[in-house]
Amino acid sequence: MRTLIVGASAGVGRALSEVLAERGADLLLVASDARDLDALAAHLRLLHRVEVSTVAADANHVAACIERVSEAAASFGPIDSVYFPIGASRNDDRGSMRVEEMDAILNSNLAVVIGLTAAFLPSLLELPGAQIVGFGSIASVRGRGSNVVYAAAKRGLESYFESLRHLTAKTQVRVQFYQLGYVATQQSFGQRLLFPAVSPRSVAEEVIRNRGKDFGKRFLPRYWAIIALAVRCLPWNVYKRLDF
Amino acid sequence: MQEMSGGAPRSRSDFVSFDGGTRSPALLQQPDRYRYWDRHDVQSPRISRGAGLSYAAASFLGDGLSVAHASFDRVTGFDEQQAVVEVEAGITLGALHRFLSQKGLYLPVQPGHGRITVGGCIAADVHGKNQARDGTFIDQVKALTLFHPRHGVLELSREQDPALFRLTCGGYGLTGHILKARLCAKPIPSNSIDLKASAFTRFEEGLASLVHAAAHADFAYSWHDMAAAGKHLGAGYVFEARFATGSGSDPVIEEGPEPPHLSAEGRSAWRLPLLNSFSARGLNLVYRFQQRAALRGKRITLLDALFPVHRAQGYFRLFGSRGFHEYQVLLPSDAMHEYLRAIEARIRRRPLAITLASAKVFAGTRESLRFTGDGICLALNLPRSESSLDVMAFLDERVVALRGVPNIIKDSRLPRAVVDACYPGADGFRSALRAFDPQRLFRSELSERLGL
Repeated sequence: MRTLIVGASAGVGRALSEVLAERGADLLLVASDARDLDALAAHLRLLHRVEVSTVAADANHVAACIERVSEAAASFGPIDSVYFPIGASRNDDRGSMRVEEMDAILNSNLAVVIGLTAAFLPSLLELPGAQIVGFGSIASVRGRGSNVVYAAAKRGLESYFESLRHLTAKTQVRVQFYQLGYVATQQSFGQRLLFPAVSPRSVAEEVIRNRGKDFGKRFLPRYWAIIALAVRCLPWNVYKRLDF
Repeated sequence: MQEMSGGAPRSRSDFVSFDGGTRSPALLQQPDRYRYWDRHDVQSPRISRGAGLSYAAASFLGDGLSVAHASFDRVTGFDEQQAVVEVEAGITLGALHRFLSQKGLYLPVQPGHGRITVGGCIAADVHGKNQARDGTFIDQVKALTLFHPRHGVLELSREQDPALFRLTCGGYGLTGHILKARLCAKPIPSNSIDLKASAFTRFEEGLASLVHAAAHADFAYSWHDMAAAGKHLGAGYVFEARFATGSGSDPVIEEGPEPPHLSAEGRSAWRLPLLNSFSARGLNLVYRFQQRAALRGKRITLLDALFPVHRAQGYFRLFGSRGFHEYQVLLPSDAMHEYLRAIEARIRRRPLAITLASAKVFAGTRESLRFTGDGICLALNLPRSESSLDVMAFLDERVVALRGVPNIIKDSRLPRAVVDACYPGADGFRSALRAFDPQRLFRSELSERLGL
């Protein structure tokens, strides 16, 4: 396995890197800070004796990021799996951010994923067992007064992966999209949550267990499917009163 | 995924020292990226937090900020020729041992539980199973990386800023956040350890055997029954452990299970204490019964020898939410007899529930606030109660009189006056700390209590 992970330095991305390295996968890791990547890459090489290359690139600068990752991939060798556990949010995402701030959220959650997928799709179509895995958020199940732009970007990402699955339906490429509930990352740290946060490690292990399966979209943990359905079914007169 | 601001969110938590003696609400951050260390916030008093297992409330301050290093837990370098490993300070001893043992290496100086972090070991300059031979944790630290918001990232070693290096090793986290360390490992002679217990009937007899064992064995410690009545008081065993030689001693690779979860909050989960002077007798009888195999001589794994608390951590829960005291003292050998007589006299006047008494031999010179020097180290455990503070004050008085040093990291109650009386280097430590950090940004319940 030769795997590209975009957003690898923390949370689900780091956990995916660790679980895949334990299983012997060679990795091309992408994140914004070289220091995080260097520490993670050294650790994975030393513990699991896998090949790990890194690209420090800012996902907000989409074109430059795609160029740098593509260059690194060319010397890394043929990639058969691409994971996008990347994302960014802000506490003040309540509908009145500056354009640059909105751009940053849209670029990091959506545009860079679309751009990198487009760059790698031709080669993935040639490889048996190739797969593309995206990660959405429970925040996009139904629009609300917080995480306004973030939820829109994640909803857009869900639509994009639906299209991607349709586009590749007659090929060997598997496309999976996970809508994540509460995960114990910086995003949920210290918050009073209605449901328990699962560890990034457990998410990563489930994702790897599902490798190659053709299910389209799945909630993680699975019970979030029921919660999402309940939220969607709430009458507007009730939903509009909720403050969450 | 994270906030774009680059900062780490804060959460309000209730902290408790492992001995249950100090409780405080404080803020907790758990950064997971290096850019956190670019932030030069000098407003909040702060302190690093590793596993949170310090007895002495060293990793939190009421209404201060604790910065957890849990995400910085990686092996970042390894020099096979020199047997030097570079790690982030949040790595646990258990995880590091798993890595090193695959290379046929180990750290000789390690405390008894694999959940303790390397950063915590450096900050408290802990000792291991044979301090007289192996020294303390600083002796295996080749270099470290320290971050202080006013000074930035500093590389420290015996050659590069040696004064700050020595102030940080055994500095209780008060010089800054320890980010990384380069540690010197040693070859594992064998993955198997031959453990042999020898019984003795008198405390002094046991200490004499212990001194002999420490000079010849790889690990050596004694156990004393301080709950026994009359002439049996202080009887017990000396344990000598040696790396096995001969058949069955070959395998070096030791994957080992994850260390069992241990936390200060989990330790105090049971509300009611189950240990008193009566049940302490029962506990010691059970312990004696369990040592039958060791008396004959038995073979254990290196993992079990390094981290004996893994199999016995239920013991700490028996103290209940109120907790316990540990009084660990290092006394000159010639003062130990008088110390023991004083304890015996006290026990005769009023029974004490001493649930554990264990001794080790120490060698070295006293310096700064390190728990080092020549003599015998004796640890006593007793349940926290209305009267236990009187007992601890009595021990304080005896230790000061006998020119001993109490272990600062083992006691959340230890008064400043006792530390000042026992540690001639205390004022020097304070002066050096203030010279480096005049605003005293790094503070903890421990530092406030001791005026550091």
